[in-house]
Amino acid sequence: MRIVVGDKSPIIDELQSIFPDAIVAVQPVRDNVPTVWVRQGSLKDVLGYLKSGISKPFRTLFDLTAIDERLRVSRNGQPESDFTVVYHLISYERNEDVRVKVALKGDAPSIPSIVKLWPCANWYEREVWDMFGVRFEGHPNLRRILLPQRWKGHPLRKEHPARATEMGPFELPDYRAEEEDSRLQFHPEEWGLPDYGPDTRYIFLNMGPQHPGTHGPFRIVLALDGEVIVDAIPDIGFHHRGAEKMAERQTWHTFIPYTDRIDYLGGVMNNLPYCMAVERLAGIEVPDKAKVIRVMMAEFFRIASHLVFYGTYAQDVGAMSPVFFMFNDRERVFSIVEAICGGRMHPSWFRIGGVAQDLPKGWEKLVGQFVKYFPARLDEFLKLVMHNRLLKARTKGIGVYTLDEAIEWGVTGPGLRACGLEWDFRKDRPYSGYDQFEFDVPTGQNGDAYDRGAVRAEELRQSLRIIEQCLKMMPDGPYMADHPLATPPPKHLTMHHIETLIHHFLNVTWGPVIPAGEATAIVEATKGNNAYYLISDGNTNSYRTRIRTPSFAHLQMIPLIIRGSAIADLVALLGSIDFVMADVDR
Amino acid sequence: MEQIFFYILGAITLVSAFLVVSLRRPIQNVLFMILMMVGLAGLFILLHAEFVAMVQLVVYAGAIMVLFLFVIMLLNLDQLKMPPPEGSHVRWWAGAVIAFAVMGLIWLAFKMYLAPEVPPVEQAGASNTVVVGKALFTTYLLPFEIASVLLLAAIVGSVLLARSRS
Amino acid sequence: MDLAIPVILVIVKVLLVIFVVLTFVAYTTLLERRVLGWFQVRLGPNRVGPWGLLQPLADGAKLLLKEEVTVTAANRWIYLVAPLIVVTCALTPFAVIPFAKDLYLDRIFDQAASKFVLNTGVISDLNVGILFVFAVSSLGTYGVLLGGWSSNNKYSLLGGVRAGAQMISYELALSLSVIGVLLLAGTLSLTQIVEAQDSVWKWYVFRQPLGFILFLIAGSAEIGRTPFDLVECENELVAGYQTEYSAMKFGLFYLGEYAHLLFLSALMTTLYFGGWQGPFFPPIVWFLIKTFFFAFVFIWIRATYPRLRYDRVMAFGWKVLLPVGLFNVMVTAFVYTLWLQYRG
Repeated sequence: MRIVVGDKSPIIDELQSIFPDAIVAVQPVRDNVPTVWVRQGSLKDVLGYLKSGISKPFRTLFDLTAIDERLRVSRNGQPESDFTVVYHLISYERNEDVRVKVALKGDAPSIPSIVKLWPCANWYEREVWDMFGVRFEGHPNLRRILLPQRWKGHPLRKEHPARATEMGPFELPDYRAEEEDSRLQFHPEEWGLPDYGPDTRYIFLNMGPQHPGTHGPFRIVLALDGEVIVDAIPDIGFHHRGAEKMAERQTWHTFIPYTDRIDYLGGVMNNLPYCMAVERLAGIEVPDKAKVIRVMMAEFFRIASHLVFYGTYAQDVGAMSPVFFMFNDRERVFSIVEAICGGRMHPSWFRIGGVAQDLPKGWEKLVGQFVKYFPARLDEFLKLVMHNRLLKARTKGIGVYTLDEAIEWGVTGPGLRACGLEWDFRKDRPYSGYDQFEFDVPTGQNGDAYDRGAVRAEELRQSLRIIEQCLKMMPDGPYMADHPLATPPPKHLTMHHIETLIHHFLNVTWGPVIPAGEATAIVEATKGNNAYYLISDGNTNSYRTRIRTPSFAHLQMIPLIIRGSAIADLVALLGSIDFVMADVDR
Repeated sequence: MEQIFFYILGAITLVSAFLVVSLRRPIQNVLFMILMMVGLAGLFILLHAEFVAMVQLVVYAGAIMVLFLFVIMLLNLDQLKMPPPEGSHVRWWAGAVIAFAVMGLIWLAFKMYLAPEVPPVEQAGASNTVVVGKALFTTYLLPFEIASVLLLAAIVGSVLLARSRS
Repeated sequence: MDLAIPVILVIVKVLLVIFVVLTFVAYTTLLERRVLGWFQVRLGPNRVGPWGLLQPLADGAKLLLKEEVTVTAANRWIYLVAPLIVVTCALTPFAVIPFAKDLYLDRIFDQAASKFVLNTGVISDLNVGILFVFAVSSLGTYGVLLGGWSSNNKYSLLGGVRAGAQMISYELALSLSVIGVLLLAGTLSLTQIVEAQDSVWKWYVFRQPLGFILFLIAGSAEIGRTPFDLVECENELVAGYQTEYSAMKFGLFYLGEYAHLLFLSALMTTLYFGGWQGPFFPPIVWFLIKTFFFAFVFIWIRATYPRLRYDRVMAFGWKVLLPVGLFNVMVTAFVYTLWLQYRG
């Protein structure tokens, strides 16, 4: 378990003794992740040491993002900075995190790229360039990634408008339309492909952004030799909605519905890390009942999401029936969700400090019926899908990555466990009371498309186990924390208690004022690890909201896995990754 | 009745055969070649050689020409500009003369060695599949087997060629 | 005059058969959708008419009235001809399928009607019937191949190439699997093959079980049904060779596909299950029952299995089906010869 507290962590001591000049400052944060500010010149040395020099190294680059610090008021003695680049590393061996920050000055800042150190930094650095205009020296292909190439400005800079109404009317004169058309011409070299010359025997196939096999607006450019994929270039950003920018306009409370739509299959699972991060900032302790309700709803959504995965996974290798069976059962899950939350796919039901309402009368019956009904169905699905010989032939040994690759490329969740690493945030860093539940963490061995399916198939059963325990052990008590920042405050108190009424009024109209600070909350979401890194400037809305999603990292890895395979394997791989584009593009 | 069919099929065969050699786009050549094969099959049927007709369709039209089409499709030969016919028509005329000469020879050969009065061999009760089969496996067994071995050698050879190149 | 009447009557008969076949084809689409719905715990189309029985009409009307989109970059003539080839080659082989012993015309009209060979339950009893079937269906490959190529779309091209390669490969296995039956029947005429199976234990499915399995597998590959539906598997190739086709041109491809499905079921009935032979019911009823049973089997398979990968399909065709087919022919010939010897 993490024993680190603020600036008194052994890892920081070690870094300070080895790089006495490199460490500029140590920053206390709310989530107790050791956070050090490093001089730009020694960034690569420090990261290199953390990745390979140290014992039990930090091998995963969990997140790489930036902060526009220029308007931030309460910086509490952090070093001078206009733009701060943040590296979040995880070591699975230590079960520890470390956050490295680098201060950058000026309007067109630049920083050395770490792509050579972590290949997965590639997309993250492109995103930071796209959003903040921070140039990464030595990056192989520093192009915009989420926004169109012609976009002017860098949206997550504070001066960039947040609403369309601030940007003037949209116009598309003919010459611009023609220009846009000509941009659609495919030039391999623009995409970082080698120049194959005019007489190339390769076909360039543009798969997506509208293609039945890509699960949403995802484009992947393939260089094909016959049906064999020579190279693949994923292209994302078609589903980008600027969720991180919106977070800076919404109050802490009103941003919750936006999180639902990040991983749109995960529903309230998305609320969880956000609310947890805000609660960490605010210092709210969530009551037990709210915790158990959250766990139960999150697991229901894990089941719903995995059922979609299960069905589409089978659909992707050509079996047409399973998806209907799975969606039928997903419908049962949704009817329970609807009875409890009122909403189905996006209930936005978690609140800062608890959940929106108490469980309705008779919920035990609904959940109990489902718990009894579902195991037999799971057996049937196993027979229909995972034990099918054709499916095995299509997925075994297909889309393989090794455990080392998975760790280096930031693969999380079932995709990581399919490689054999038994790592689950719910077990290894229990949050929301997961340590009180009994469940197993299923793993695979081969890291292929089959194992990724099998791990999820077993997770369905484990989620059901957790739900069963929630049903049996649902504690009594309040569903909302009794805390001035809990939003909205418990209803029965607002009717009798003038103080709470005022809080209610202010928190709902203006939004709660969350104390200044920084905090990350990571959860084991449906598709991997979802993290919210929140920075409060002591205001009613977030100063910076970073949403780290699992699918982003997973998609980046596709070319590595798929070179040399057939198109059919790519489809099986895409199906086994289990991504939704909203989760990638945010 | 038979004559009408003969003239229709003959016209189809001849016209498409002519178009095969005269058109300049590979895809058109192949398509007319297929049409020619179909026409030929029709002529065989008129001769009461159903078996040969069907084999003509299955083997030539159905399999071999598909391979031609494959090559053209995959190598995108259709975009290839065929060179325009050469200025002097010497080659053209030479080709025509040789073709007529060969045709004349064949006609002569038929005329001299094949008595036209002899009606086609009819065997009561046996379909011509049976007749062809019996002929192949008794009278012409040796040529049949030699042809098979030759084809086998060709298959092995082409596999070897394809292998060594890649 | 002597010539004209039979010609006209034959034409009428052909038109009648085509009409009936097309109707059945249309209803096969409904059958497939309803049966799939049943397998997948959903309803399927049930809004148009009772039990959705008018759905095929609605679909047809929709396809006819839809806008025809012709790709500008397409090779126009070939693009237009391709669906026609597919439909023609899918419908023509029905000419040699014996769907009944006779048409009872002699009971309705006088005996003169049967004079014109019109009373038989087959349009044309070719003595090379089965070869005719293979010849025509091998031409059907062109429709798919040319459709894929002329659309000038990479997905179409890949789909067309896959289709062509797959059809050629499996046609071979299909023909080989039938040879066993032909050896036993001693004829290529489908009518005589049916007549040879005049009792249930003479059905060739019992004498050629291996051949039947090969036929079923190769057949479903030949018509591009799951698990061999690589030709148009949407997850990979969008819609394969049909990607750029719309409205009735697309409808024709669809028609061809279902006609092919129905034809294969009919052929399976004819070759292995005694065709129209059966007790109590009139022959045509038996023929339909058996044919639609196999159509149902194909739909059933579709509801159950994932699809194979393209290279494995090809490897399976060449490395498994073909040798097993040859083996089947050899064993059949050997045993049959021994039996003939034994019988004297």
